[in-house]
Amino acid sequence: MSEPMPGTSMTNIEREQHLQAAQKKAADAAKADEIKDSDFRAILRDGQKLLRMSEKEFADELRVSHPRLNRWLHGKDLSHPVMRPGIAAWVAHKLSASTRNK
Amino acid sequence: MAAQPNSFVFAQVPSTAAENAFAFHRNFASKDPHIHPRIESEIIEFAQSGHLFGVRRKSTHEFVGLCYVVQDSGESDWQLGGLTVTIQKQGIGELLVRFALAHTIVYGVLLQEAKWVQKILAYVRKDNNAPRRLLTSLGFEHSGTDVFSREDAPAWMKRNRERGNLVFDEFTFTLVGLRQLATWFDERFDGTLHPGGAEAQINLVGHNRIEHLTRALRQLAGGLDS
Repeated sequence: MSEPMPGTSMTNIEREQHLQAAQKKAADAAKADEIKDSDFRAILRDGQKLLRMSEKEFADELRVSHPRLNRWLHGKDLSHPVMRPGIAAWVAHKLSASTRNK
Repeated sequence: MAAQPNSFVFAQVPSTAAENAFAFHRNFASKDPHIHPRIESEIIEFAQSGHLFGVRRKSTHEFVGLCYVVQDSGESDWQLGGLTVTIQKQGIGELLVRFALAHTIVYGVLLQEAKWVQKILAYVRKDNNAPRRLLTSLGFEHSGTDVFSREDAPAWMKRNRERGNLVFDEFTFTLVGLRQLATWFDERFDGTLHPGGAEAQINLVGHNRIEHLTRALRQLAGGLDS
């Protein structure tokens, strides 16, 4: 049986499943022409959480400001819908790399 | 594949390159009295916040152009400034400003119901003629003249050796300018500089490409008519 990861109630197996699900969701969204506000927010939130990055680290990697990412995570001032699939593709890529590096 | 000798990359300046960007800015600002000298912490902050835009040679990563589009606070208007280009008459400055405007507009929320909720402004010193033609050609219009006493002027407007009032013309980016910007990226931009002819690569946040930027601009411009 997999032990919970330190500091979380999630086991490694559960995290792996979450990672794969989030990666698929982001990759599917990346193929769309546009992404709805709620889906875009969820992709960012799951990505940040599963990559185990702080908001600041996630913002730095994505190359947006921390305040801007924070607003996006709270569903405010979202980028134009057309620009969201490219960001989802980036999240999918990072999650995929994270899975491979395990 | 080796980069062409005259290939340039237009992108947000990452915080890892902020030191080089500041050196470039400082060198330029020390020679041009019309450029407002920013201190290093400001340039680093602009880079960290994704609001510093640069042009670098693809082969050497050397900066050849820089500008920023920044806000004083989350709700305030944006200010385009600090445009510095070391290679003249190649179309670098023009594309850099177009890129910075487009980037700021599509990654933020400056427009709602076909109206600006956050304007993009540029302040030009009364005695500086150089950027006026560029700004008006890109869709800015003169929107006022501000006279500041030295005591009341924002820090960025001041230069140590100046005395007396500071006079700036304010230019505002217009909805007509947005339409022009969308049309330009859609119909005119072919990945090269004009009239220089050098390759111009544009890097965007995430895995976005220039086609996405163009489509977003087109939708925003199209929304102005509906």
